Amino acid sequence: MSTTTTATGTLSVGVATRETKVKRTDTATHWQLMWWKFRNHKMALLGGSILAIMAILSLFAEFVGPYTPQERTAKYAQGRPMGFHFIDAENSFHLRPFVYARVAKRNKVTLRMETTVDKTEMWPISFFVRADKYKMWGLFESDLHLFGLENNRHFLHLLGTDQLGRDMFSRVLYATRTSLSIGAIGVGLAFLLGITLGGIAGYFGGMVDGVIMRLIEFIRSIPTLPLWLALAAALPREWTALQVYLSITAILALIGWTHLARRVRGKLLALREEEFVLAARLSGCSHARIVTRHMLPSFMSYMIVDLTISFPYIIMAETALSFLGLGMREPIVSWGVLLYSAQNIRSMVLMPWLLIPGLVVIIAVIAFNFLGDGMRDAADPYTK
Amino acid sequence: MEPLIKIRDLDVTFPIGKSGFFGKPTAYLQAVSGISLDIHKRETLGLVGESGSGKTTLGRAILHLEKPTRGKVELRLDDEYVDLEDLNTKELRKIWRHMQMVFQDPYASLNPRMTVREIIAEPLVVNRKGNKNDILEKVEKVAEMCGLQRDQLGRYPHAFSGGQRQRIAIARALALMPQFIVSDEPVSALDVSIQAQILNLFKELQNKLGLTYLFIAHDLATVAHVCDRVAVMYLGQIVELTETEKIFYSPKHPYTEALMSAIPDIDPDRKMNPVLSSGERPNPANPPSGCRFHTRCRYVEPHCKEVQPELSEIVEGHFVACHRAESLTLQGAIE
Ligand SMILES: Nc1ncnc2c1ncn2[C@@H]1O[C@H](COP(=O)(O)OP(=O)(O)OP(=O)(O)O)[C@@H](O)[C@H]1O
Ligand code: SF4
Ligand SMILES: [Mg+2]
Repeated sequence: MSTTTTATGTLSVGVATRETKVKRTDTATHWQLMWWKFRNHKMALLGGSILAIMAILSLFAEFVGPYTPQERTAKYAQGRPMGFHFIDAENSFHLRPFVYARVAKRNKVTLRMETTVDKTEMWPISFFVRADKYKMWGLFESDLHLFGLENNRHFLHLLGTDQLGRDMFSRVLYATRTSLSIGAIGVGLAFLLGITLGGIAGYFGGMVDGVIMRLIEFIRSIPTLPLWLALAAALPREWTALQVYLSITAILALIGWTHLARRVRGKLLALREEEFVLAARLSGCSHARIVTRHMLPSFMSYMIVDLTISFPYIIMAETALSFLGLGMREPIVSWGVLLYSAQNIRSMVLMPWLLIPGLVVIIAVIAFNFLGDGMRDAADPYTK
Repeated sequence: MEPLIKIRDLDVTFPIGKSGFFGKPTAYLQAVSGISLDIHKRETLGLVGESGSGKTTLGRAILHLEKPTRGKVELRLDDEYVDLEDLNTKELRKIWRHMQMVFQDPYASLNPRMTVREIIAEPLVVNRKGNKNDILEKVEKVAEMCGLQRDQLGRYPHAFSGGQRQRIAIARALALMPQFIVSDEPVSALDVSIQAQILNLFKELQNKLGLTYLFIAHDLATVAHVCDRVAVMYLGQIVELTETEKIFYSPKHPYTEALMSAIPDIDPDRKMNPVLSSGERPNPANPPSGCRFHTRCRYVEPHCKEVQPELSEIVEGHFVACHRAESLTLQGAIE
């Protein structure tokens, strides 16, 4: 068990001192060992990368997305995703990707406006174009976009548009930002509450522990979905989008913390009896030193795993609430909000691209699970 | 001679089985029950008993790592006895400079996130034993004494085998130069081939530093080589206490005799008594009435079930808690 032969660990440096050979793992810190073990999990790495890409792209949604989420291209409402190409109809290659032009025509039978692809005209995609003005993170103004079309009478909708002609690609980006940030803030809040109350319970024990544990059991005994629904439904309709956003996050965290508090308490109680903690007491360490030097470090890796695992629950909870029309509302877009507008059968059949946010949710949840698996394994780097 | 440590009427009771709104305990388990014991300077006192008999709890209670529910422990310091009961947390930390412990599981007793150097240095650092260089020098000295090489000190515990980890744990316990060390089954987690090395290290260190040990083990065989006296524990009580030789030549308590029969090949010609099976071990939360051993004793009499025998000195220096101690002739391991 103590041997140093993890798959990556056998790379001995080859320095032989007396009869002992120094292996790289011998002097590796706990975090290094965890990283070495983690990176053996290809799926976890994949999950982590997907989430990192999602986070970065959505963090800069204003810049990456060619449109703002509420902007409409009326003449391309309910438009299909526009594929981009490098090779045109005449088989000649263009270094700059392009989309084919769209022309709107009224269908003589159904009398509806329909757009058709005009393969004779190409709209080249430019990078770092000046287009619509936006306010980055609500702070400073800019009109620089990662990509777009130079001609502002043309339009570019990689993932199509919704009923009102709003760009799905940009909306998914903004929604990703909302949903991931709710997950992050929610998990953060839950963690804070959990670690404080669980820590108090686990450290003091006795009566305090009893009261906190009873409270937790009470909260946990309430079925979650009805509770969420009730709380969310109680939010005043006239609240601003930001207020709703913050309260929904708080509601999700308020319920999520109980699980974490229990884990924190259980781990603290177990750690208190660990032999190395007893040894630290005998060494004369103060309570503060025991907690910070001995208990917290061995506890953080487990907590990080727990956080990763609870992330998708909060995200799915938000998605579910918004999908039911009780969570976020326009003009804020989240995954749930986007799916809410894809709810009816007609749009599912006629505009399947409106379900793309659902695909993103699934990918994110799976990525979180892969990541969590790898982290769980890496949290205990001493076993093979 | 005045003992180094005096233990009087020590009880340690654990609440078990919580219920009710505030988790009031529904039952209590007396892990250590009315133990009185003297530990003399420079001796090695063995403490033997089956799993669950309360050895670890007694060891920890002596150091006040576990607060006793009743009774007291006194340590002789500069010709005066200090009652550990009177000390607050800060004063206890100071007393622990004189009393230390080596734990049973060398895989659990070292913080995996600290290098060996940091582990051994910690007691010196928190007790402010000199500046950084003094401390590093002391660490190297004590590590060398415990058979660790200087170039191993920068590594983390996971780089070491069980035996070497136990050396690290011993070095940490010795860093403050204590007088008294509780070693809780320090070799039971190690390979048999390594055990002797560690036991020798204990002996060497004792000779060099004049240490006093409480040496916990669950079988008599380990104790035979290292201990001057042996205390045999059963369900939280001491049932026999005397010099190691007497325990092996002329045990006076039926439980000691039974333990002896469990030692493999100490004398192959000897007729083996049936080994105690752990299946019939009584629940420590609900010990038998009278003599706690009566449910498993071969020599039980009706009287034993009602009256609890006191630990009394039947021969000079030989304490036994058995009603029939003086009339029985029991079989030792060595005739
Ligand atoms: N913190 C605790 N709370 C409740 N019961 C405990 C606690 N610590 C020990 N016990 C109980 O006290 C009894 C004595 O335990 P102890 O660990 O002292 O035995 P031991 O002789 O050291 O056994 P082993 O050989 O297995 O180490 C056991 O029945 C154990 O279950
Ligand atoms: S007192 Fe009785 S039951 Fe107890 S050990 Fe002695 S003979 Fe056995
Ligand atoms: Mg024990």
